[in-house]
Amino acid sequence: MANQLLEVEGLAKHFRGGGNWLSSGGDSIRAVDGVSFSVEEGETFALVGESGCGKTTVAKMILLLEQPTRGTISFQGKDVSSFRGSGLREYKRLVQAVFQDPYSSLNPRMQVMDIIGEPLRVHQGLRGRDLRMRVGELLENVGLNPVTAAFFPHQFSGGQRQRIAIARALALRPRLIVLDEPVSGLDVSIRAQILNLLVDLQRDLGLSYLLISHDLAIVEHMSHRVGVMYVGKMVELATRDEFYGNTLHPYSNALLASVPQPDPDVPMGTTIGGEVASPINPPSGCRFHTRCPIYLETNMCREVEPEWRGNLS
Amino acid sequence: MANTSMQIASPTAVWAVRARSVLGGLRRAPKIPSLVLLVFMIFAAFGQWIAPYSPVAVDMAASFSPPVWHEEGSADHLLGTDKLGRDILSRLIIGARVSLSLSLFVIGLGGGVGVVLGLISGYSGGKVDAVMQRGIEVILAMPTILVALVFVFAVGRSFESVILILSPFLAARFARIVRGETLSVRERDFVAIAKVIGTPTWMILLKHILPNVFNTVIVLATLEVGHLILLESSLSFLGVGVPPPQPAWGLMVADGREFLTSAYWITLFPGLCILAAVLSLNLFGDWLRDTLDPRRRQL
Repeated sequence: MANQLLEVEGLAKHFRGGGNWLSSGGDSIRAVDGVSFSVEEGETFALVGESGCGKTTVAKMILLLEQPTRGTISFQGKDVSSFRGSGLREYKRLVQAVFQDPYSSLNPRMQVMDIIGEPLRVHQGLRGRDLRMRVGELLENVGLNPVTAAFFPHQFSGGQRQRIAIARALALRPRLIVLDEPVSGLDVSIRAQILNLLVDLQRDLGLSYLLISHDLAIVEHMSHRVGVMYVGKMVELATRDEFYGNTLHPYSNALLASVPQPDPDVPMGTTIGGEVASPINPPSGCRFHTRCPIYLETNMCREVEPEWRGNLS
Repeated sequence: MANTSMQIASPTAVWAVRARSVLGGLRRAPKIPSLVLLVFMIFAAFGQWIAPYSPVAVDMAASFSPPVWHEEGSADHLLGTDKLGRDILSRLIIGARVSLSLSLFVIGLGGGVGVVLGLISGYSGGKVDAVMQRGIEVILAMPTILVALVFVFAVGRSFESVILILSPFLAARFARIVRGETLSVRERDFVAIAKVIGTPTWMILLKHILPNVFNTVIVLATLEVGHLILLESSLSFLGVGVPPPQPAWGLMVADGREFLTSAYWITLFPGLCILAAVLSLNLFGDWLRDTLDPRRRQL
C-alpha cells in the first residue's frame, strides 16, 4: 500500500461504568471495540456512523486526548504510544484537528492573532513581526482578511470561526488533520464553502484528512475511502466509489437509504427498525444482527462476526 | 500579497484594538464609585497629612462633641469626637488605611492562593482534586471567628496575625468556586485543541482557563471585601482585631455601640464609610468584569 501515514490496528476504548470507591463500577462501556484502518498520504479517509458509534472516540485517541484500552496507532510507521519528548512534539505538530463547534473551539478571551499564533509560539517560538506575518498569511490562506487578526471570536460568524479554526490547524504545516464533523455546526448555506476550502487546501498542501461525519453527502464529496462504524466496530471499509456504488454490509445500505432525497417523488429507501444496540452489552457476532434484514431471513452472523471480504488491500 | 499582509497585520492593528478597548473601557467606568474609591485610596496612602488631628490624640475636654451641624457642635471637629475626645474625621481618614489594606492583603494573599489551588484542583481532577477538596471542606467547616480567636491569642494581636488567619478562609472560598468554574471550562473544545497542539499545561491554565474564570474571581473578590471589613469589625469587637490605638472602621463601629442613643455619630460615620466602600467596590467590580469580557465591550 502506498505511503501509509497513519495506521490504526485493533483500537479499543472501554470506559469504566459508573461507580466509585464504595460501589464497584458497572459494566464497562465499549465505545470502541477493535477498529483497524489506515490513512494514506494525501487522502481523505471518512469514518461514518450514527451518533454514539464511537467515531469521535477514535479521533480522540488519535489526538492523544484519550488513552486506548487496546490496540496501536502508528504514525509514519512508528507506534504513537512510544513517543516521548521531541518525538511527541513532532507528532503534535504533524497532527492537528478541527472540531465541530466553532463556538467552543475558539477561546472567547483571545484575539485571533493569539488563537492562530498559539501553535506557532509553542512549537516555533515565533514572536513579534514574524508571528504577525505568518498569522496574516494563514488568514489569507483560509480566505479571511488579515486585518481580522485583531478581532475577537464573537465578532465572526460561524463559518468565519471555522475558517479561523482551520487556519490554526494549518499553522504548523501538518500532515494529518482530524476533521471531527467540520461543518455540522454550520448553516447549510456555508457548508459548501468550508468543504471546498478544505478540498483546495488538501490539493495545495498535500494534506491527509481523517473526516468524521454522519453526513453521507459530505463524505461522498470529500473522501477517497470510507469506513462505516456501528456500535464500536467497523462494519465496512471501501473506496468511495465502491461504497456509493455497491455497498456490501446491510447497515451501510440502511445508512445510505436514510439520506433524505431532495425530490419528494422519490420514495424513501427501506429503513431499518429497532434501536441501536447498547455498547455496554453489545450483541454477539455481528453487532448489527439484531436489526439486520438479512439475519431475519438467514439467521447468519449471530454467533460469529462475518469475515472481512473484499478487494480493498 | 506578502506586502499587504505585512501592512495589515502590523503591530498597530492588534495593539490599536487593545489600546482603544482599554480607553473605551475607562471612559465607561462608573463615575461615583470610582471617585469614592479614589478618595479612600488617597486617605489610605496620605492620611497622616490630610487628617486635621492625630487619630489617637485624646482630648477629654472635647469628648462626645457632636458633628458641626448640631447646635453644640464646633468647627474644630467636623464629624464630632468619641468618648475620649478623638476626632472622628481624622480617625476615619487614618482608618481607611487599615480597613482597605487589610482587605487588600487578605484578598491578594488568600484570593491568589485560592485561585491557584482551584485551577490546579479543577484541572487535574482525580485523586489530586479529591484530596484538595477534602482539605478545603475542612477549612470551610471551621468557624472563622472561633479559630481566629484562638490563633490571635496564641500568636498575639497584630495587623499581620489578622491577615494570616483570615487568608486561609478566603483561599478556601476562592478555591472552591474557581475549581467549579475550571471543571466546566476545561471541557470546552479550545482546551482540547490546545492539548492537541501540545501547549504546556501551565500555559493552558494561564491563557485558556484563568481568563475564562476571571469574571467569577472579580465578582467574588468585590463581594469579599465587604465581608472582610465586617469580619474585621467583628474581630475588633471581640478584642482580637487590629490592636486598638490604630483606628479601623470596624473597630470604630464597635466602639460606638455603647453610645448609640446618645452619640450616634461615633457609629454612623464609620458605618457609612464601610457602606460606601463595599457598594463602590461592587459597582466597580461589575464594570471591571464587563470591561474584561470582550463580548460585552464594544470596540
